[in-house]
This record gives sequence, structure tokens and C-alpha cells, in this order.
Amino acid sequence: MVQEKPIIDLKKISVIFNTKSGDFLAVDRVSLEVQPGEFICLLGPSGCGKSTVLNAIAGFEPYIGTISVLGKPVIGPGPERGMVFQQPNLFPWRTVRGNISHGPRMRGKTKKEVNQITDDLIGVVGLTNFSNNYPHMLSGGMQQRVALARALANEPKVLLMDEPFGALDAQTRSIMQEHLLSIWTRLKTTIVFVTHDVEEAIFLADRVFIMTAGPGRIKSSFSVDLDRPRDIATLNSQTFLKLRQHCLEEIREESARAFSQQGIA
Amino acid sequence: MSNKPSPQTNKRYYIFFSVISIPFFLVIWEIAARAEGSNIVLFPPPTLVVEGMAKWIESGDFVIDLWTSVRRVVVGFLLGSSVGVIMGVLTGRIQWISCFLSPVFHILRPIPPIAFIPIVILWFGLSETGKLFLIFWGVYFMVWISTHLAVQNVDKGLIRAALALGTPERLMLKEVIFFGALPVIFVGLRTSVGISFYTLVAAELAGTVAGVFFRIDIAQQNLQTGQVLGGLLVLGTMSFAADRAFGILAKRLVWWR
Repeated sequence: MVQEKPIIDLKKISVIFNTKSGDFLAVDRVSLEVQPGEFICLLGPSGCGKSTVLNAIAGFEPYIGTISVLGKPVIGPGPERGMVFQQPNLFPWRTVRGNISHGPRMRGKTKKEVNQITDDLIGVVGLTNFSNNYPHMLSGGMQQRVALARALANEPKVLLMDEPFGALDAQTRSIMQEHLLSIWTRLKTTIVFVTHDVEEAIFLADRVFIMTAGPGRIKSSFSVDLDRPRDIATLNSQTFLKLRQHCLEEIREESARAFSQQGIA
Repeated sequence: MSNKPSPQTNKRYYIFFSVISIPFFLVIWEIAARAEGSNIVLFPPPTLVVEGMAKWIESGDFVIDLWTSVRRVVVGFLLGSSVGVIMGVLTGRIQWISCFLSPVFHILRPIPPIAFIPIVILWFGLSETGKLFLIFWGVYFMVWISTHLAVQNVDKGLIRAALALGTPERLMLKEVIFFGALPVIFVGLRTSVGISFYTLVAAELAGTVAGVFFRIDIAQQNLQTGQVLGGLLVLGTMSFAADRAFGILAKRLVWWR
């Protein structure tokens, strides 16, 4: 395989939190490279710093080391890096349409362009009948679809997703996963997806990075050699089950360690 | 089968009590005031209150008093709340302005507006400006502090989302902070509607020639207790109506709630 220039390049990044009880190393020299169009997952127990790494890439978290996206160092948030959070964080005073059109409007697109992009994306996430509803009138899954469409409206080269389906029920989550894959196949955006759910990580990703807690480090990574498109049947394939077993063992070790550390603290 | 009444009978039952509530207490009041041993001059029954009110209206003073008081409350509230919202946004958003002004505001804020009456009389005499100043003072600090806090406590998730979407700093206030703060600002504004009526009473104590509380004061000096109680009811009704009207307005302006 010809190695392309990575679109996201993290070199030995560390993040230190200043807390009342002193400084605390949240992320310890994490390095990773993501190729254009790749879908990677950061997988690990809660508190392992996976969201912190994502926030650093997004430009929300000051870090030590170098992060470059599209060859440029990350010094703050920017529209070329779309972000979907665990909470939808929709603007409650705007309709579905108003939320999705926010990015293009802010970036000074013409009214015609804004409408075009918004209409397209409302269709892509299947919310045509809800375009004039306010967020509080929608279910959690629908709200997260709006959040996804809102992030995609800026046509980001990189999409950062922080446990976006974590607050959804199991059925909705599984539908959202397939939905996300079909959108990704169409748009070929590079995705960095953070989750603590082993099956979710394997089902979605090209590559999975397993993180360890206290301090947050990358323990190991592996490629997911599962054919695409993936669907419900994928979950029962031998490869999937083997990878799942492998992950569970690695994670379990880590969760146990994190648990006992928390116990001491 | 249980003997529990159906929800429908229950509802009628409650409506019955709501409907008889005020008439019942009026009748009790009437009987108590006319009972042996009651002083009808100091504690007039509702019928005499109505008579007092009728005289007040007939004399033409009522319309003038009501208009004068309403105008004071409305103008004082609008001035105090608009300056309060502007200052709250400034101190809530711009650190050096907050460092510069907040200490002064925090010293002035707890002083009860009524305590300013003597100095207001010295500064403004018996003019309308003095009355408006008192109401402004009462409303301003409440609106300032609630706007300041509202602006500072806008959901961080919304701000992050807006930043990630490429919202420029100069549009942040108009696009996100203002709407995000609006529900809490409205709580402060609604509290200030009540405050503007308290300070109205203080303002009309500070020497005037018309107003609902001024009339209560005069009636007391003439021992027209019916009119005193009538005036109190008018003040209560005004304050109640203003609060309800504001509630309806708030529902429209914070449309997403």
C-alpha cells in the first residue's frame, strides 16, 4: 500500500490538567497518524484521555507536542475540523434548518449556497419532514442526526466524534452506526471517533487504537479487516468475534487497573 | 368498587371552591366589619371600600393617579432594564470592564432604594426625575446582576459547538451568547417588574402631587379608610397584571421554551 501523507498527524502529544490537588497528566505522549478518508476509533475505559486527545485535535485543549491537520499546526478550533459531541449541543432557539445552516452562514456563503447545502444535508440525514421543528421537539437520535448534519454542512475534511451515540438506546445506536457508515462512504470524510464501546469501535473503524488510563496512552492498535459495507451480519462474522475477544481482554485489564487506581484515590 | 370520585366530579368540586373563594371572604369581611365591637372607621367593610373607590373615580383623580403611577413604573422599568441588560452584557463578556465596574456595583447594589429618598429629594426636589431615579435604581441592579450571570453561564457545549462551526468571535454575542442567556435574563426582568412596584411606593412617599400610593397617603390623613384599602387593592391589581403581562411577553420572546 502506498503511504499517503497523513491528514491528521499527532507527534508525542501530552495534556496536563491543572486541578486543585495539583497538576495531572491526562494524556502522555500520544502519537498517531490518520490517512485521508480513513475511519479510526479511539477506544478505552472512561477517564483514559480519549476525549482529551479528540479535544486537542479539535483545538479546545492546550497540549504539548505537535498536532497538524492538513499539514497545518492546530492552534484553535476551525471549520475544516467538524465536531459532533456526546450531547447534541443544538442551538435550542433555532429550527433544524437553522442549526444545519449555521456553519455555512457564519462562513459567509451566499443565501443560495446556504440553502442548497442545508437542503442536501436535511435529505442526507432523513429529516425532511422535521426541518422546521425546534430541537426540543425531536428524539435523541434525531437530535444527533441534526448535530451530524450541522457539522457536515461546513464540508469538513476531518470529522471528530466524541461518543456521539453514547446517550442513545441500543436500537437507535445501531441504526445510527449504519447510517454514519453510509454517509461516510458517500462523503469520504476522514473520521476520528471516540468510544468506550468495543463492538461499536470494531463495527465502524478501519483501525482501532486502544487507550489506557492514568496517564492516557495508546496501548495498542489493530486494523479491522472486515468487508464493507458492514451490516448486522458483520457482527456475527468470525473476524468480528475474534477482534472483539482480543479487545475485551485488553480493555478489561485496563478497566480493572483504572478501577483499582480510583479505589485508592 | 371504590368510592373514589371520578376525575370529572373531582374537577367540578375544585372549580366550586375556586368560584366561591373571593365572594366567601368578602362576606366574612363585611360581617366582621359590621359586627358589634368593630370600628367601622378604621376597618371599613367592602361596601364602604367600593363607595370610597366610587368617590375616587368620580372626582377624576383616579385616572390621573393611575396614569401617573403607571407611567412612572413603565418609564423607570424600561430605563433600568435596558441599561441593566447593556451593562450586564459588557461586564459579563469583557473582563477588564467587569474588574473595573463590578466592585462599585457590588457596593451599591445592596443599599435599599428607599434609603435614597432623602438624598433624592435634595438632588431632584419633588420632580419626576427623582421618582424615575428611584425605580431605575431598584430595577437596574437586579437586571444587571442577572444579565451578567446569564451571559457568563451560557452552556459551554453551545459555545464549543459554535466555535467548531467556525463562528467568528465578533458574531458570537449576537448568534449564541445573547440567545443562550435570554431565558435567565428574563427571570431577572420579571423579578424587576415586582421591584419596580415596591420602589414606586417609595418614590411616591418622596413628595408628589399624584399617584396611587400618594392617594393612599392622603386618604389616610383624611381618615378615608375605604379609599386607603381601595388604593391597596389597585396597587395589588396593577402589580399582578404587570407580572402576568410580562409572563406572556416572555413566552413569546423566549419562543423555543
